[in-house]
Amino acid sequence: MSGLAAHVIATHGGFQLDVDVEAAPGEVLGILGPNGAGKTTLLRVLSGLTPLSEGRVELSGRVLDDPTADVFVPPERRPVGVVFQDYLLFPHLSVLENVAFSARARSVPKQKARRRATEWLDRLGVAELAGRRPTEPSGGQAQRVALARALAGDPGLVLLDEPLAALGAGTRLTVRTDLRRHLVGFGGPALLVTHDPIEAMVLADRLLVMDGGRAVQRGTPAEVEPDARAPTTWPGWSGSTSTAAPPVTAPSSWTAGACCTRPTSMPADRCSWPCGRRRWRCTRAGRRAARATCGGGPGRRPGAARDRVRGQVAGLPSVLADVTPAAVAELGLVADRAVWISAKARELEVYPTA
Amino acid sequence: MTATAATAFSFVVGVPLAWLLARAPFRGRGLVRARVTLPVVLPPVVGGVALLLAFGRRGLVGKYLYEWTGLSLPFTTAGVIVAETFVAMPFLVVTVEGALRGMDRRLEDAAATLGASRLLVLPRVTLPAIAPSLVAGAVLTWARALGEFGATITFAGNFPGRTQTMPLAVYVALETDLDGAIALSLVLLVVSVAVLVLLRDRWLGGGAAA
Repeated sequence: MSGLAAHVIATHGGFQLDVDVEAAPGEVLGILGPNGAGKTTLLRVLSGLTPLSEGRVELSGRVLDDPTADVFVPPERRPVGVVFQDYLLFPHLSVLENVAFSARARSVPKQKARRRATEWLDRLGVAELAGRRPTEPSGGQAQRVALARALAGDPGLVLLDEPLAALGAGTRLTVRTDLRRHLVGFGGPALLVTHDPIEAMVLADRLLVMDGGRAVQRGTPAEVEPDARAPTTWPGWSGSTSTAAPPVTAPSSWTAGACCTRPTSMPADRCSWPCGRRRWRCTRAGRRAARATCGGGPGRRPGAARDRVRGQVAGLPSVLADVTPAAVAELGLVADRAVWISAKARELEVYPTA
Repeated sequence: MTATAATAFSFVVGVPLAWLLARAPFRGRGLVRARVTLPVVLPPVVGGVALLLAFGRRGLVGKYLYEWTGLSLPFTTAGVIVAETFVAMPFLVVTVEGALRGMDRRLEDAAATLGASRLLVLPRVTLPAIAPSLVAGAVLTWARALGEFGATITFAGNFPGRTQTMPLAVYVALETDLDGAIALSLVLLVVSVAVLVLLRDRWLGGGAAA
């Protein structure tokens, strides 16, 4: 079959990993689980940095690792691109040389390698960084450089290890949206490791939840999520296996896909309304449906319960909406996407501000 | 200058040795490390005696070396280099080994996934990553080799023009020609300071660019 098919049994420092992984071309498979679930070990096995003890790794019909058949393709000869957790850009090389590294390692002439690297930087929108040292760019830019470097080797499989973990909450939103776009554009199978359920739901087509070196759940983000509140099947939740996710507290009326209505009693064109523990504020409310564009894109609200995505919706009125990750995945909420927002009139409390 | 040759020699032998000590898990690694660092604590004159016993014309190794090739190290310029290397190389090995252990090995993993073989990873990634330590180790080695006295005079003697190093010349001149000794000492001082200043500027410059 094409794509990735792997039956992975490996031991790494006394830790036993036993998991089946399959990913079709063009598919983004999210590997989700708490720290120590074996996610990074899995990526090391697939990239060839850690050999299998049993099982088989096959990519596009080519066997990369099979201990019983005595086949092991070393990492430098595997068509696998890796975006490492801290990007691991070479500090002694410029951004351009970093991206040209894989071509240079395969003895491509310098000029040609540089030209191709420039194209990649261009494609990822970081061409202006070419001459800089990789320690200079911001986290979001460094992430794109790392992605360009991984893709420049023309891999058949891309592995991403916590690609957003090193970013601040602010840049994470935009980078996440970009990353999704580039992964879709890549065309081959992509594996994305994360311990953040929201990140996995937004970026992945399918999820594989791991714990203790084994797969505990598989499916689309929508399929996996409902069970997510059961701690036994969702080990990554809140970073602890003993804590169940908090119940849904946001008002159920906040769903994307309808319209915003103003209660008739709304006195002025400046209002704010508290909802649950939070308060939304609008500068001008309209009786008619308000068409708005999703501004900052969905992003996790700092300091909030872990199962909420906060989207900032620009427009009149501007709205901050907290939705579930599943909703983000289902509705395909990304930055700059037009959305409809509704609120039940009788659940609104309205009073003038100052 | 024999010190430069000794540094180059240390580099060629010392860097692979440091790599072995830092990376390759082999039996007797502790012994090898002890052997490598011994000259740091050993009085140089004793080192010279040891070298003489090992590489002298009737020494353990030197005997065969002489019988087979007709080469004899003691009291030659090559002997000076060997003596200086013996005493000074540990500084390089210890510095580089520490850097190799301290560096982020995942950089090498990253290079491997980008198609670089292990032979290519060493010059393209590993050595550049530890470049400051390489320079520091080389400077220490060079300085130590330049000032080497005890092992050199014991092993290679003190023949002007052949095995006489600057410190030896200073020592001889001190007894006959005080002004000459002071002049030579000043030259050594200036050279040492100049090297340090030059390298320091380069380090700072490199640091700012990186």
